[in-house]
Amino acid sequence: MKGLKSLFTTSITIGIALTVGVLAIVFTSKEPLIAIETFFVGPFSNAYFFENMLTTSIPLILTGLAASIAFSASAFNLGLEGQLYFASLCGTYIACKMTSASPFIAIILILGVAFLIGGFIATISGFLRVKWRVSELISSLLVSYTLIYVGDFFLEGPFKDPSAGLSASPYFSERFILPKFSCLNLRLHIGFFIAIGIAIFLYIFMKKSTLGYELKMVGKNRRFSSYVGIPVKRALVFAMFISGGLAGLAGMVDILGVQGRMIRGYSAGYGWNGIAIALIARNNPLLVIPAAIFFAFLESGANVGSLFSDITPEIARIIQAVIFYLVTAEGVIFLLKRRKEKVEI
Amino acid sequence: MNKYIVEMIGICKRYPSNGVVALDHADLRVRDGSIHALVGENGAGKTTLMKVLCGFVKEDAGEIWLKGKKVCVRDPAHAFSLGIGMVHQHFKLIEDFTVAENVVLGVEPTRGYGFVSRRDMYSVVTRISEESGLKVDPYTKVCDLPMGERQKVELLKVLYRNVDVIILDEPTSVLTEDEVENLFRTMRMLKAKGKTIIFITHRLNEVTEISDEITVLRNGKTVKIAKTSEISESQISYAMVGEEISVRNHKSPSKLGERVILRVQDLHVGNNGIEIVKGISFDIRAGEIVGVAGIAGNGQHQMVEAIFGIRRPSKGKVLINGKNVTSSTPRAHREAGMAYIPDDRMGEASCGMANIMENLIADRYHDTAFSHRGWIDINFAKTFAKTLVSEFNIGTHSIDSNVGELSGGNIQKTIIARELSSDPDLLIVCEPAYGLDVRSTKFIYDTLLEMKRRHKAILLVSTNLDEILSLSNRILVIYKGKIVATFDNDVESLTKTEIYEYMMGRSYMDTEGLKRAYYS
Repeated sequence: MKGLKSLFTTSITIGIALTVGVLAIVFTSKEPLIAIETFFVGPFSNAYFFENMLTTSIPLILTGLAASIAFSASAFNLGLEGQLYFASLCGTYIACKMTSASPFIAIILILGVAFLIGGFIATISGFLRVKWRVSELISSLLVSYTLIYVGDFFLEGPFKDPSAGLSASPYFSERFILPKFSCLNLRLHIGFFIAIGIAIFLYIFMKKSTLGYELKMVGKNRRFSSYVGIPVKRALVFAMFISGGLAGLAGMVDILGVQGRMIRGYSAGYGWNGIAIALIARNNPLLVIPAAIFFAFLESGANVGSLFSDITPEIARIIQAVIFYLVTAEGVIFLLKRRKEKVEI
Repeated sequence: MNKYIVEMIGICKRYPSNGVVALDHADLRVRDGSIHALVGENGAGKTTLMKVLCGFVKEDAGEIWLKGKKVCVRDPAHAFSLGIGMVHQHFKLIEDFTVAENVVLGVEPTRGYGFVSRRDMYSVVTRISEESGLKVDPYTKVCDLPMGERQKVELLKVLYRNVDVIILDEPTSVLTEDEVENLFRTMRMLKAKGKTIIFITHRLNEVTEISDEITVLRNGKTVKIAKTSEISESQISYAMVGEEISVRNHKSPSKLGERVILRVQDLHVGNNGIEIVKGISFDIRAGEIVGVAGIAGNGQHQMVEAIFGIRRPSKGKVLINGKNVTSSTPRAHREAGMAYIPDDRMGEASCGMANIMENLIADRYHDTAFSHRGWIDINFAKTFAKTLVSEFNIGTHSIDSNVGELSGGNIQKTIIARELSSDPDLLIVCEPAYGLDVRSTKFIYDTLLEMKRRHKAILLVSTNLDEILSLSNRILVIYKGKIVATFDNDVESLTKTEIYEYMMGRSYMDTEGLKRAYYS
């Protein structure tokens, strides 16, 4: 019953957003029918576009999971973007420095470092929250913005590839590029299975593990959790750590799988979209997968549309923005209600 | 005899989310200008029936007649325009707003262009306040008001909307005895002004004191309609539960154990620099119920939280079975043998958005019996939950139901089931029967007495003196963060008035008298 209702509201949200997108196309395009068709059908029109769409969904699944883990515990990690950016910068640096290591070990090490760095950044906000009751929502956001500029500084200066025409790091060894599993040898890489695997693991983790139980209960009622003896502070810091770690992983997987180096501003809002995806998926790790693929579909649709008709890739941004507004309006009210119930930790 | 102003005929309501039938062809007829008591056990459907009348809930079947005309109440605003207003059990006020701002909220006086006229607002609220005799300063912020005053604000809200029928949902449950007297005076005065009042309550003495007519609901059905003057309390009680349940005096003297279970030494608790608990010491021995009486807000809440480890005491010691647990976590307190039933059932003692199983395992999911290497044995947890549900007779269809969907009595049973399942040596319990019906109350009292018989220690904190007197062996009276009196409850002559003197801070015991609180 409840599930049906939320499915209904989600469909309305998506419906309104798509309508706005279609209207935007109608008003800007000279041949709106073709534009709309390429937008909606394009990503499915051939294997290349379809794989592209799935590839785009990989970091989105991971940031969606990152946001949903934090939100489950009512910890508001709004710093996903900065955590992702800075963690992948550190990971890329290690990838560039390691030339002789075996790919398997190197990839695990690089991903591990990115996870730890992202997790560490988010943990600072979690720690400030439980120690001095600094809102993690504000601190994670501020830290995140700062780190994006710090990252840009490195990409512009010390860590810039002098031979590159744009602000980007040097390419790292091709041996570290994540293996593709596509029969056509296109972009889709094993990161997709990593992301799906993590989603399934987190689903079981939230349902059956003691830590998952703690996160869930702390998220639902902090006063209750503290009274029954759940270590609330530990749970909040842990939620922030995993959330930041997954954000770092999201960025690193994208770089290892697709980019081959770090380009300034490559993320293009993976972190922000992750928040919207978690809200649409109602923090359910399994639902994060279709929600992320949907966001990737919008992205690809707009890209394909700009190739074959006269619409701009920004059409995806418009639709995503409308979804973001509608879903956050609904989600924030829900979360604020919850937040009001608990007073102190 | 006046005509009926409100007639509700054959009202049915089933909540589809949990399949609970709240109302099953319930009837209610209220005469113009009367005070009508609506009584029944928890979950009997009283509040739902009133929510139907106010448009908060849509009935599945049935008719509502108002002043002889059939009506269909669409929403609360429509109910107001029809002349029906409700004062909820849990006040719906904005604490940061002043009294007047709360009163006019939603129907603000304007002088056009959408601007609220603050001058009109304060003058109109002052006028209503004076006319009705509900004296509250309109400029005070609601957060600075005690509960009794907040209720007046709720009443003013209803009067400002100029209603004829006022519904009071368990208005006395949050009030002190003085405030109850004031409320009754106000109700009589409103009646004299021609208003009709529907009064929901559990307390039978209040029914006989104030009401003209009475309707009894049981399991969503109307089982009794009578004039109050023609029905006895025991008849009402019989109609409510379907059987006679006597709330007898429980203070049977029992043999005290020698073992001290809880020792509290010179406990001080501060909050934002203000000292709220100012040096409290007492012992509780095995087989003893110690009652802490006091008017709400005298530090008993902070004291209990400090004893249980939710709050950090600024000074003093808490020992359980001789073990010092001061300033350790609630989990350490639980492991040392304590359990605690707070008074805030929905906000603290239970998690309404989690299911029954998740609530029942909350204090022990990390035990080796429940989890291995960080993974919870869900099947074991479910079996455990099912056992408790049947043992404590928790009324639910499934352990997957959210606790928030249960009735008040069943929520309390779920909480008690969890707290007692660890077989604690010491149980701290606050307002255990607050807002519960006769049957649930009896169940809870029996449970506490059974614990006492099994040589456990119980700290009972309550604002209800009858409860304290009928259950405890010893009574401590708390006033402004200090124990001001102690009584051995075996003395038959001890009266409520005597305790009340101390609760109000009108007298203090000397140190000799207080020594009895502390055995060693």
